[in-house]
Amino acid sequence: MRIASDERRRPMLEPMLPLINVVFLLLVFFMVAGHMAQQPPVEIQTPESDARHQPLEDMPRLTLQPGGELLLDGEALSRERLAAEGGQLLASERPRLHADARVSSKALRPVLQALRDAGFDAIQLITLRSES
Amino acid sequence: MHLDPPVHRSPGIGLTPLIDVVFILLVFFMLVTRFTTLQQAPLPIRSAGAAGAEQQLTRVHITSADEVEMSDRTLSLSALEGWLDEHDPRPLYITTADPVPLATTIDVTDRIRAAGYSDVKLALLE
Repeated sequence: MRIASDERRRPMLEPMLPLINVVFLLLVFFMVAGHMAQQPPVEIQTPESDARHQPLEDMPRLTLQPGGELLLDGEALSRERLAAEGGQLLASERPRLHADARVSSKALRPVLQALRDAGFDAIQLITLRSES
Repeated sequence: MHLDPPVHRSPGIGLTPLIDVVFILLVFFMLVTRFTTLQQAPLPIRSAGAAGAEQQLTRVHITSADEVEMSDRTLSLSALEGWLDEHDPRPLYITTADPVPLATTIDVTDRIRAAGYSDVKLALLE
């Protein structure tokens, strides 16, 4: 006479339940504690700032790479065009600039001058809130 | 003829597809979730001419990552904080030497604003 062992009768799902519980908890944690990352069009090292400012809602259109290359929506933009058409291109009171932390003042200054020539007397500089 | 009554089996709903979906969702949220916060810091810009014309403004010139020049003196960043604490907040503008990276400019701007100087502008002067 064959007697089925207890092991065979136990549903396969049962030993998986703790794992499923943990996975559910992890899922809820990531959904609640984090927020969706928006990727800039190019790799940018965002400068850190201790000050508290308004959180960024959507990615800025203007990007300044470490070498001083200026991008609008991921496409190269000359400083001359920014100065001439900046008001139409950006359509913002204070354009948001996502500049690399390593960009030198020598490279940054002409971009700010172009924005100034386009009629902007202030910008919103994108920074990373440091948690210290 | 005797027929056995039909056996009612409860329809089993497999949890495997649900677990698969949950795993996929978990991986998705782990990849796209970010815990750091990006923020937008307002930075007024002063043109070169305007900055030079207004002599009553205090100028802070960043020469390197840990040194600034003010009027006729050179200060370290910690000494700058002491100087700012000793004086009443007044409008000032920041200028930077060519090699100074943006991270340093933001660091100095943060220190000045933290000392109560809300009217800080970045001038387009070397």
